[in-house]
Amino acid sequence: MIDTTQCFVCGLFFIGIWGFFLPKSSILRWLMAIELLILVATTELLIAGYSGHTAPSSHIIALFWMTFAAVELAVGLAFVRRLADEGLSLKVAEKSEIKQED
Amino acid sequence: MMSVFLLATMLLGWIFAAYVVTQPDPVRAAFALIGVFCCAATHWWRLQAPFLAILLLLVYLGAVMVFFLFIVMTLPQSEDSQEVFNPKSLTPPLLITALTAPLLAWSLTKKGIHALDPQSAPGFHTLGVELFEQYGVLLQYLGLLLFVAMVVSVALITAPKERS
Repeated sequence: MIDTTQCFVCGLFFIGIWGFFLPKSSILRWLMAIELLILVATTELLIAGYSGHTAPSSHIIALFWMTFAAVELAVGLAFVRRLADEGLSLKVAEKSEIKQED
Repeated sequence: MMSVFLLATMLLGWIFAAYVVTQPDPVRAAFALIGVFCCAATHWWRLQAPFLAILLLLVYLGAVMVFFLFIVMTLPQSEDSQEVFNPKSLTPPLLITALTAPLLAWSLTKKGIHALDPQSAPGFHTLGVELFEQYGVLLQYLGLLLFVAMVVSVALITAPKERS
């Protein structure tokens, strides 16, 4: 039986990875895509706890995982803020643009 | 009734997530990301994790995402907000998802997702006891990690600018 939560997680996983392959990406979009993927990983942990009777441990690991996500976001945003203060672009250069510069 | 509600949150979550990655305006994207987290919280509640669902709503959305919005709003507006949708960009994520998702679904739910007895879901008390008794040292390390992240963030923002 196909489960709604599994479908939700698969869809989010697809969209999270899609965020990295879209043209004209920026670091902010990549940060948000990473947030989506971390959400997917945490939900998968909870699914494992729900279906595999490992509930307290998987819930606690999910809690730790959420903290890692917060740490990643804090450092990432500080980095973005720093780039903006230096007057640098937040856009991610595409392969063709890098080749042109070479 | 519950399954209709879950189906609705699933579809809404997908729409919000697609909006997050395709929206050129980061402020709108951040608001959509908050929508995705709200939808995820309902699924977490369904997975017998009410404590984490509440934590996601109160701490993650209430503090972390507000901080995210605050930083994004103070950034200078990008001059290039034209979005170019390229259908070719769909191929790699489709391939990766097609390879990974069935494997994950099988490995995590081979016992059946409805196999858990609802009475065996951990309560707040069980979680608290487990957290402080078995994972006490890890919890301390996590606190240290948060402190280091705070110091690094402050150092990144307040360091003197390079003059080229």
